[in-house]
Amino acid sequence: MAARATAVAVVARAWAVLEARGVSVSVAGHLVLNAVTLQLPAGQVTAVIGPNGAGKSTLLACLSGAQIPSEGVVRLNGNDLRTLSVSCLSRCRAVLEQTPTLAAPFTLAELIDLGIPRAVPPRATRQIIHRAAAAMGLSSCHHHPVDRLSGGERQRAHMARSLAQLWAGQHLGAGHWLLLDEPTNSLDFAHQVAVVQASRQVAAEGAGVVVVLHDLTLAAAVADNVILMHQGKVVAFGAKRDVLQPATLEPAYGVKLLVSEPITDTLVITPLFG
Amino acid sequence: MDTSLQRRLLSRWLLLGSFVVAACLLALAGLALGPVAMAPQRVVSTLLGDGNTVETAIIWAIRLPRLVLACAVGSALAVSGTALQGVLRNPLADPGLIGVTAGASLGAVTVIVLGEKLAEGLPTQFLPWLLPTAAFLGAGSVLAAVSGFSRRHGQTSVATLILVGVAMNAIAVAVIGMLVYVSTDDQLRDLTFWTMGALGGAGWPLVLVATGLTALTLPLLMAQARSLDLFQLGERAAFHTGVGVEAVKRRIMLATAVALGAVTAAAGPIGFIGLVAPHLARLVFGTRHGILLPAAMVLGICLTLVADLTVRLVVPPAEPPLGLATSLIGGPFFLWLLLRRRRDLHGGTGNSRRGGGEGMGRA
Repeated sequence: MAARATAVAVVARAWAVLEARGVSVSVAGHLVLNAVTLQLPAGQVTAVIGPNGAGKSTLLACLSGAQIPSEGVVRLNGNDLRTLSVSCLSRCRAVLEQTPTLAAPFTLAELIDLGIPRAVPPRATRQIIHRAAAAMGLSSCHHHPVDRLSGGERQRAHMARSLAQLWAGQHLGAGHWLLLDEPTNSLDFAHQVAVVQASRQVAAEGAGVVVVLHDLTLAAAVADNVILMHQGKVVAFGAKRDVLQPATLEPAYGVKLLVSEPITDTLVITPLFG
Repeated sequence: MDTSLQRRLLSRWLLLGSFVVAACLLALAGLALGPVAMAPQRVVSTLLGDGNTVETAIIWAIRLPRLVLACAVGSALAVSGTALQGVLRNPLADPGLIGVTAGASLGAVTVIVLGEKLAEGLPTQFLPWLLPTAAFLGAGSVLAAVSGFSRRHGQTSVATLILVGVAMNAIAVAVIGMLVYVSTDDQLRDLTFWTMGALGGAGWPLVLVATGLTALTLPLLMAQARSLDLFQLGERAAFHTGVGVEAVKRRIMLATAVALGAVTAAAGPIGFIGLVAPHLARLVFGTRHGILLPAAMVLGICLTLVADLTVRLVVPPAEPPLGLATSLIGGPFFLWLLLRRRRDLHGGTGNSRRGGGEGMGRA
């Protein structure tokens, strides 16, 4: 296990950088992403925050290769994403969409299996499925149809599918990035913690994690770095303690915010009402 | 747990095997039964070349081409239906409902009515291909129109899809009506029976062309099983998990248009096999396309053979058109399906994603 983790870390270092250069996306003449330039470090969790419509999901779509920028380029270890094949992309990064859907009544194990390429041998596939289900606290539901699960369980099932895709990529010598769009939607506290722990674990093993979040306290708990977006632009990008400051956040969110640290290493950020 | 999973997979394939046996028995019945009933051993020896003149004529000229065509029709409709339902993530996407069969019919009727003028100057060996080619072009253009019109901002709207299908059906039926209006009396008779759908009308050349084209497209569609599974996550997520979404869609649209065009040219529009067979297959075999596509194919063949036997045996020697029989069975089935889905959507479960409800929910 230790040897495998090291191997993954080596590969991840070789592919360390995911970068956007001058990335703009315009929809019907409106700039939803405006000349974004970023360099994201592997082995760390980067949270993307900002008010509604700031361009967070569009940024994530550009980083995943699903959205081709109108201008600019996204590079994975120096390779333009547009030059990488769809199957190569699927091994290099796993993505959890904002509102994952499933149009057919697959079982949980079948859903997680969808994330795993056929190139992974059956034995390893089974191990990854078990590990992913366990990481999201779904070990008892392997053969349950996903459409019979509760909303929170479904969200975790799709998170497990994304984790499985990342691990399968690592099994094949890639698996560098995990991109999550609001993975804690409709999750209770215990399962928010599970998602945070899984993300931290992925980063500790060498891969990079980018996670879009609305809950700033959660962002403070999970992230090493924070990207603050507002009106399609990156307003601030840096270590979380530098970005999660009232002076930085308030102009973007347009409300008064209270940032406190009731316990060491735990930032709590809440709006001030009234 | 893994052994129980393997046992379940094994039992599914065994079940599929038993459906294959059923299809073979039905095929034998199709050869043996009819106005002149034959014993199974006579059928087999006639097939092997030891029959008398009458038996040879009945088997080789009438019942065998019919059987071969039934297999082509059943498998083409069922597999195309499964693939279309998978790629559009909508279990109601029957080739007939979304207008593809009507498009194929329009192509075929055009050839039947205007064929003599169209065929002028063509070498005679090309003639069997004229009807399937026209039907393929009709099916292909309707499929392109339906999938093109129902897409906005990279999303396929299910409601728009069905409505565009209704519009395409209406247009095709109107043009067919115009062609019927200008046709001669002989053509009119051909047309009327052709548009009701029948397996007995086509001779060997057309049957072989239809079967050959179907046999070519089926492996292409079966090879998309994994992609079709991933399409169930939505097109964006399918891309994320490694599917070249547009390429797969083009391949499936093209293959289904060829298969549907080919069998519609030979047998006329046969409704609802493409809806009923995939649904039965899903009920029995689950949702993974790796087993769903072959299962739907076998069930499609079984259904077509049962329907054909029924129309041949119900009031002999008269023979009601097959298309009428499948629609009589399939129409109520479709209604039942809609009512069941509506109950799932509005029922007291409070879980809007149950069953196929989601597809309609996102419409």
